[in-house]
Amino acid sequence: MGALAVALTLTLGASSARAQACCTATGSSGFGVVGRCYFAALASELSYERGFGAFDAKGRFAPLSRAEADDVVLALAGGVRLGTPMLQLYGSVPVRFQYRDLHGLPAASAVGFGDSSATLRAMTLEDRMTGIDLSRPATLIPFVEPFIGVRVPTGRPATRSSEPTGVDAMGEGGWAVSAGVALTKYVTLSTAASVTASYGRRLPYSVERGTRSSKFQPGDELDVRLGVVHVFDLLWSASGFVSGRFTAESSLGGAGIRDSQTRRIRLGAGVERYLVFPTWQLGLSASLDPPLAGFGQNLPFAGTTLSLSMQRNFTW
Amino acid sequence: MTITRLSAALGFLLALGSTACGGSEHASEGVDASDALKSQSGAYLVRYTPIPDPPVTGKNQLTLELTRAKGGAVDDATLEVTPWMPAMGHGSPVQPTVQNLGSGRYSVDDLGYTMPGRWEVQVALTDARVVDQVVIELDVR
Repeated sequence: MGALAVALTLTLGASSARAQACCTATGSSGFGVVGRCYFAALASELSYERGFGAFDAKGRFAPLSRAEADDVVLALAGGVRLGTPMLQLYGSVPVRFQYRDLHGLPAASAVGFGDSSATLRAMTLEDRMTGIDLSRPATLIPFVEPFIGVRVPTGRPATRSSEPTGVDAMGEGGWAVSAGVALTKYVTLSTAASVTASYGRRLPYSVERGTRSSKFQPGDELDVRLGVVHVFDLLWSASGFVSGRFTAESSLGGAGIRDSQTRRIRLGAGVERYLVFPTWQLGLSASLDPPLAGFGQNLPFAGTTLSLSMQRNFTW
Repeated sequence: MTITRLSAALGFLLALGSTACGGSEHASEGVDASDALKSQSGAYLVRYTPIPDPPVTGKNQLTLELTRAKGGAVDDATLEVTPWMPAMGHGSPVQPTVQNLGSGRYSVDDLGYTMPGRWEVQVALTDARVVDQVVIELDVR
């Protein structure tokens, strides 16, 4: 009798985990991404970012000196499938509240939009989500989702900042277009690994240096993210990730800028819970820039981020 | 075996950490504040002292000592100072002010650095109708 109960529990646990896995699959790889079994999604995320240091041009870390940088970001995102389950469009718009307390200047805060983004994503291959069984080669096939994206400079750039602390600088200043691919593979019935990589071309824009105007060409960027998500049961799942953003040398007026490459490697983890399955989803996550040499380069404000998100999924 | 691997990984991370927290020697790296910088034409020499040293995000000062390469202090030059963060492609919202202290010494006030990282302070100097410039590199903390 006891053995039967255990077997029943395991069976029910596995099937409910699989039910959530079916919906969580591919949706956990990005904010606003529509999960596999949904038609659309709306998401909001409230984040608190606290800077604790900086990485210099040589990749060395130093704690912030006589400075405090705190940001609260409310990001709104949404995605929808475009007539077919194989294609979706999603995007996000952040609203930033920034606070800076710098040496010798009055502390200041500012509110404004950050840079927005939109992505068109296709699903070209589907994982069977049965876990890997080496005797069945078809179980090795992952979800394969190529995508193209654009980042829109809706945030005020540092070149147009008017506050002495630069607290009102909230965007990068130029457009960026990118292309990449996301691979997600259910290694077991309830654990998936993912790799997302994209290459971005940042478009040039004019900057004023003193009385001269020059064209600033930011370096191209490579984004890589490795993640793992484990689905415990119908309601709970947990994930972890490491992400890296690497940008090439920038140039000003056609001349390369020495030591202008940037690097940012972050670690993060989170838990998600369906408040109402499969529609309402609550998430809590934390990430940080490890304060160790080599994990960043030319990164003015490295720090920690704590995020709380709520997502409403819409089924077919 | 697992413990050995963990120890090796921990050792590696600690080594990285010790490199990361190596002190202040990297402030203003590549520029020795005690050495004079040559202007673009080579006609002038500039010595500088950041206040505070190393410079930090926020409001800073810079004292400059200008001499001619052939000798003699530059007493009555007009200086225009522009801070610039090359890697990020932006300057500072604050326009620095320059005060002539006499005997070839100048104080640059209200130098605002909005974020840590490498900054350039471009000093355009005009001395008896001769226009020249010098660029000072600073690692702001």
